[in-house]
Amino acid sequence: MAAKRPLQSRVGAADWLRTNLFSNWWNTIVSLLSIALSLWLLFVFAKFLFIDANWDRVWANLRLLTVFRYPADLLWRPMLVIVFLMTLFGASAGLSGEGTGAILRNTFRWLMGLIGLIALISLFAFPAVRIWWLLVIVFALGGYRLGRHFPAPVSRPLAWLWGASWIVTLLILYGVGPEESSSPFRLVPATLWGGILLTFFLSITGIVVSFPLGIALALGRQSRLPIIKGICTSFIEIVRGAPLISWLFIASLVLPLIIGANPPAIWRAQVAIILFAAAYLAENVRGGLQSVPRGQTEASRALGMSGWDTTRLIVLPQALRAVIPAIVGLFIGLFKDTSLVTIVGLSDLFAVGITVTNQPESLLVTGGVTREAFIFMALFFWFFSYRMSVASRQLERQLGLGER
Amino acid sequence: MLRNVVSGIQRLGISADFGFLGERAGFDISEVPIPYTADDSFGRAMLVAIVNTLKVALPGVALATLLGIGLALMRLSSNWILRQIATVYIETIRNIPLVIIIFLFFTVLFVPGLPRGRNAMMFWGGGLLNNSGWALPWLFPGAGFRSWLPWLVAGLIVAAAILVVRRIQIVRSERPGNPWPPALVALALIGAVGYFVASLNSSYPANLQIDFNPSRARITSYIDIDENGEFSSRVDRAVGYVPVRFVLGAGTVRREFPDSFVELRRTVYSTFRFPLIREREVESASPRFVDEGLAASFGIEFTNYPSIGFIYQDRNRNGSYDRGEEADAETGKGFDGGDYRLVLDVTGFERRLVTGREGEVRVPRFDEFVTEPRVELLAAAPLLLSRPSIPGNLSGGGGLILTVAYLALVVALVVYTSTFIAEIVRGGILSVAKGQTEAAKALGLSGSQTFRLVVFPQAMRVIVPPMISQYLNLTKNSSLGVFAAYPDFFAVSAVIANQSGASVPIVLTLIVGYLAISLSFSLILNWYNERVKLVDR
Repeated sequence: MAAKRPLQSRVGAADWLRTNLFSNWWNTIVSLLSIALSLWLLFVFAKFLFIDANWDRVWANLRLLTVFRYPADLLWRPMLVIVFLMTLFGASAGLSGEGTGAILRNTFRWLMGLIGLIALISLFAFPAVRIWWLLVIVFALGGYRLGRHFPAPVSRPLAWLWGASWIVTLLILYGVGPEESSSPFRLVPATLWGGILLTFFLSITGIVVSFPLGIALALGRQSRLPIIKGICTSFIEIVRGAPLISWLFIASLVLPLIIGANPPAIWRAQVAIILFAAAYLAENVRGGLQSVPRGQTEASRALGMSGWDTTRLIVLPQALRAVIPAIVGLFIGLFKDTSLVTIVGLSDLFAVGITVTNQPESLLVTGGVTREAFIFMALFFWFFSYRMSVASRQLERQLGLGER
Repeated sequence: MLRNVVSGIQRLGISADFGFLGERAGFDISEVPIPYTADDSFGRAMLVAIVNTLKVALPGVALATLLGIGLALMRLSSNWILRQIATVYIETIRNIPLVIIIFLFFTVLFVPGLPRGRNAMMFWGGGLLNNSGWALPWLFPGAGFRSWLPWLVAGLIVAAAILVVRRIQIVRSERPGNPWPPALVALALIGAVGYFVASLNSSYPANLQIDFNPSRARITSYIDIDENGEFSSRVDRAVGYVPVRFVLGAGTVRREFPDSFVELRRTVYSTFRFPLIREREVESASPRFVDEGLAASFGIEFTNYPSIGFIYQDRNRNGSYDRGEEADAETGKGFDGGDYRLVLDVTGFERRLVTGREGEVRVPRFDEFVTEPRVELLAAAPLLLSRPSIPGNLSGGGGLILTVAYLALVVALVVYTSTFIAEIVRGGILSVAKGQTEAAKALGLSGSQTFRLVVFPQAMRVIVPPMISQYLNLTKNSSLGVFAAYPDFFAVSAVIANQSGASVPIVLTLIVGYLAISLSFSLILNWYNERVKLVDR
């Protein structure tokens, strides 16, 4: 007897259309309406983007939007920071193995794609920095090769360099000499920082500095000492109770009163961002701490480890591993929220964007340039947040957290 | 350093003086849901601001939930294009900072995009939308509301009692049943009877008078304290929400300014507006040119009798409008910008109005009265329907006015928060094991029954806790209204800190205020969460 052929699944285009778009009369109407609506929206948007929009003002203000009033002859310093950080990132990506490491490599790849695009544009349009963008590519790829081929000797210094990277970045950006001199290492006061540079600086500093603070708060909240527990709990709950914008405002009002001096606005905002992030981070970490089974602690105590060692070597690594996606999510939120520092007079990307729309030359443009400025800012935030959230979702899948 | 900090904190302790709350505020607030003037205290201003914050948060939460559930269902739909639209929407919006979304709605879309001033869009029922806000018909409590209130309370008590009794009966009988319909019917019945009784025996306070000021085109309802029959704002007390009827035998309206000829929606017609009068409000209205020469060669045609029309050139001299006559034969354009002075003769105009919260309402401005206009006080009622009194003009004192800042803020918050809610709801629905749906289907439940009775209650357990934090986020995020110039709790506090210099107490008030709002929200929502969790086994 001839064997029956197995039933073939129907995958033709017509079948796909029938199951997914036109399965019954109701679905057909909905599909047709939705297709018409999306095509119309796409048309309106594309028409504006490529025909009606006037990108001259955004283009002319690109330096203001990226680094604000950072001196033109010192642009090599933010570029050096990018070279430095991308080299480290490349080395880490090269070093990383499979699994979660693949996500790091993936992230490195699309970041390099973006940098390649910027380098290409600057090759023709921005002679001042084009050599630097090429250097970024060379060093980043060099770092990647180094990490890939010499993992053993690279890994230790790399960890140290990452540890020092924040201080190094700060040093390069701030400089050392007196402000008035023409030395290439002269001080650049924080009031001149702004645009995308400030957005990145505030959010990255925020998450880096708040990290140990957040862990300390989370551990403090689990402490058996009622005073420490009370202080940590009330700190976390009070900070989370009010919006970031009010903390920025409060920091700018109260901080000078407390420390008796008037620190620059950027540091007042930064303190608020750090404390705010720390409170949220503490809650995430607490979730992680609670997810570590009791048996782990008991087993390590039974092995004779001290309480501190148990926390440091057994509980925290497992807890942090479990909350990495949540921390990435927190970072995305922080990255987006830095646009609020406008309220305390800082010139982040959002503030500069508004300034650009109000320039006399921009007001002369028919219809203004608000829409163009809006699209530029939205696209910047969207691109980075979206990539990070994709990476975070991959991470979640890798760690097997989303599954049950 | 340490000594600095210690003395700084001591300074904080000294300056934490709340005496400023009673001082005169001296600044105006653009949105005042409760009565407030610049002469009121800082504390009153703060209260107004808190109400403003709640006014954004509560509708925002409700609308974001609806939109979020809709988006989640779209993402789970079997229709490919719906899924894609929802996914693109969610992935785009949630990755853009909220400030920029508020900026999008306020600065990019609403203020330049909506029609300006008198060109307001008009909705059925008398709603108006222009770039300063949205005025919509609204019910306000009138003089009879107090006598209706006990009936409402009684109705609620009876409904609650029925609800409890029916629930116990249903549990005892061990049969399915819904306790809500009888309770709601009882509430509606008692409410309706109460409304009827209350409107029969409700009356106005003694000495309530109406004042009509023709030059300001304004009606004021007030209590005539000095009993001289005239309204003076110093002595007499204005009373809000009083229904009146404005009756005009005959009068004329002049349109003497070239700028009253507006290009309406970019048509080529020379469009004019008598924006004071609505359709079907008059017995007759006939416009004429003041200039005899113009009248000989031009004519007037209504497109929306009698408020909107256009001017045409009567080329074939047949005395009426024909196609093509609205444009100049050579240029093809309308007859705009000329000095066409029009007079509208109106007879039989009548309008019912409800005075606003401050006791004032505007009526159409007539330049001449052929017969003396009459203003009548109408019978007191528990509820009054108030419509925007002047078409195209939001500040006429009628209806409920939502400013464009408020609209932009609520829309932005809803659009932004709904993306997070959609993901939570989707996760919740997906978390219900597939066997549950299959078992429900096997028991013969229909698709909607399966969702309503089996999937949804189980999904709620997963949905509610993260939803609470989204609701709190929305409430806290309403503080970004400061970027749309909306006077919420944060924005007003910042102004007060500036004006009074009392920064430390302001800071404490801000923290305590937000904590109080957050805590009361989470108390209510956690109570609900406990109820949902009871279903859990």
